[in-house]
Amino acid sequence: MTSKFSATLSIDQNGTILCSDCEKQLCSREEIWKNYAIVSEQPMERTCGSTYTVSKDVLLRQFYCPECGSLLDSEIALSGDPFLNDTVRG
Amino acid sequence: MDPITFSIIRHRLFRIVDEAVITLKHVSGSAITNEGHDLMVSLYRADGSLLMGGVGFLHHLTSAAEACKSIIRNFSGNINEGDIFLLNCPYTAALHTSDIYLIAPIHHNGVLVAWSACFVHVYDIGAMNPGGFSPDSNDIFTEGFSSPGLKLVDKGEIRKDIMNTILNMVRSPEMVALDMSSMIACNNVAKDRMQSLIDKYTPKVVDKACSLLISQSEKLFKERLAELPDGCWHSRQYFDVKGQTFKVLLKMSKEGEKIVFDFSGSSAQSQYGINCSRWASWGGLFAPLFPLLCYDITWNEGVIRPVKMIAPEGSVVNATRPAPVSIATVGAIQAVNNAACVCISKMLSASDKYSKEATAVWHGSHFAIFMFGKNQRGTQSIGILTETFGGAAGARAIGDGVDVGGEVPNPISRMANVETMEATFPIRYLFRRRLKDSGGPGLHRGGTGAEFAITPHDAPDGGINYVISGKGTEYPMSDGLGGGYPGAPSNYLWVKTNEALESGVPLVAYPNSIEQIPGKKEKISWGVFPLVGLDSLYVGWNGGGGYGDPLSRDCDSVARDVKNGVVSNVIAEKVYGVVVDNGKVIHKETNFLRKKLKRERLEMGKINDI
Ligand SMILES: [Zn+2]
Repeated sequence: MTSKFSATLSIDQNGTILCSDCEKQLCSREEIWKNYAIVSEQPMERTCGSTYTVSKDVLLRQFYCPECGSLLDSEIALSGDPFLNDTVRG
Repeated sequence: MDPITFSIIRHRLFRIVDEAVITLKHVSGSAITNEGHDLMVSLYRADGSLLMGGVGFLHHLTSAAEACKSIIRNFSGNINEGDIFLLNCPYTAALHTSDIYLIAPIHHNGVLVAWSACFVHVYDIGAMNPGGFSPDSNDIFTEGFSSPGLKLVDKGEIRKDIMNTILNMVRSPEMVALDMSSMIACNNVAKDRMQSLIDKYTPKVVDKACSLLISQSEKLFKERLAELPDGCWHSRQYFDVKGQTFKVLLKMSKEGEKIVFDFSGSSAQSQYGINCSRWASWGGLFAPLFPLLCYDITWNEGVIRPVKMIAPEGSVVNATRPAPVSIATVGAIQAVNNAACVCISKMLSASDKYSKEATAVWHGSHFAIFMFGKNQRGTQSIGILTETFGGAAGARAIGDGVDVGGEVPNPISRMANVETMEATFPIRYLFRRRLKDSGGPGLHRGGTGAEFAITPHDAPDGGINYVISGKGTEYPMSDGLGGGYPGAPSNYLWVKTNEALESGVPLVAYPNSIEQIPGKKEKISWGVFPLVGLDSLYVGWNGGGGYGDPLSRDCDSVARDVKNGVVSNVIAEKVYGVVVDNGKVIHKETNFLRKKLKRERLEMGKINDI
């Protein structure tokens, strides 16, 4: 039995955050799940194509499930920006 | 109270607002009001608290409440039947000087029982730059006429000395006079209908229903908050102005029946007018909150009570006078709209019951382009290119965003057709269409923005000028959700065809794309520019954010998007992992490509481990 943590993550009865696609356990709800995901940071124009005529400093930061490779979250960031760490207490 | 009477009165209040909006549109002569729907009408209680929020730009609902309260404080003992007050000072309650509030007390048998308030973005306000958005202004003093409150109509008589003084300070006074008339008419209709309602049901019953309506909204909103998970959600908006970067940071905390929006860490206020005042940020966070969390709850004081805001003084979201704020509505306020939309949607996503209501950001950045100059009839035209109200819907948990599908803060925004704009200004459209690859990729795709180009036509002065106070060109502002990509940023180009022809480049009679227009393309976003001779202005506007993983998007939907010209083959393959040929999915190659892209993601992780 799980409930939703975000659009792409679930949380089980023990408070463990899981990938909703493959149920891979990432970490407990007290921890920062993004530290347990695969992180990619790339210039936005390179990732999204020629309509994204943005400043070269703008990064698309993406977090993937380390088990199934599903995309779990995306952030617009400048280099060195902290992760946007959301918490859900239920 | 008898539930049927209560329901009838609630619906009548809604209809009063609706009819007042129609009046505003029918009397105002400007495209920004009657085509773009840059307007608002709402009803307020006798103490100025919000009773029935109307449609239009929703960040005005709470600001106009503040305006009512300010008038009540400052005109105590001098508020009479038939009066109408004007307030447009952003440091008192308004959002920027050009959004004028006209506020009218509603009396019944001599007793003050309610207020109506409305705004339109007036044709001109006498700021440094025509149209109200004033990129050349570096303080509030140069942003045009600004009043913390004055009596414009005294017991049913327009105060001509005041009206003439205002009209003496603005460009195109005849059009501003029409705007003023539209707001007076709107308030008169609201007052008349409200009085009829009270005549029918008695003051006591209507007052009881109004009081109940507010406590009902508070109860329902608190119940909804209690159903949603407790937690803390973050968002970050960057926006660029004249080479500088500004940031709006938001932490939204929800616990039980309370919700707090904290903007600590946002940039210090700017020398440019993209700042907003505290009341503007307050309104800015309610603009997405009303439709996303209270779509079935009456928008009034009851919804406001459980909400708190922290906005550091001297920041872009709580500027200190005399900082300029003329561009607030498309600057810091819109960043607040977007940030609040993201945090609210993340909270919805964490709810088993409400996750389907979540949405990525819609049309994250307005392009407020005001044209001004002599028109084909030899008179002056000032006005906005209403395409900015066309918007682009964000993708939602349940489906794609609608292309050119509007925006969250104004549920009735829309744009004029090409012919209306060509009749208003001495210009000709070269093309206007949906912009390929502008909708943020995702499981559900963000709605596209659009692109168009205009060139002078039949202009007595050889052309026209325009004011542009854009941002959202260096940073996308329509954030995606649940991994979805942001929508593409906006792009404004001054195409210098005059120069090109002088150097011998051949003229293209009917160019149908930006590539076909001859001339150097200069990226612009801020200031006043000429549009003369054969030069043109190209605008590509931002798409809505995407929702979810684009590698999970239905392959046939990607093929349909490619066939319809809204997604390129390059993005279909690179981002969606779908190979499309002749409008059909090539399944074997698609399966191979999607597996490869997933593998590459996982291998990236292995590299990090090493
Ligand atoms: Zn997974």
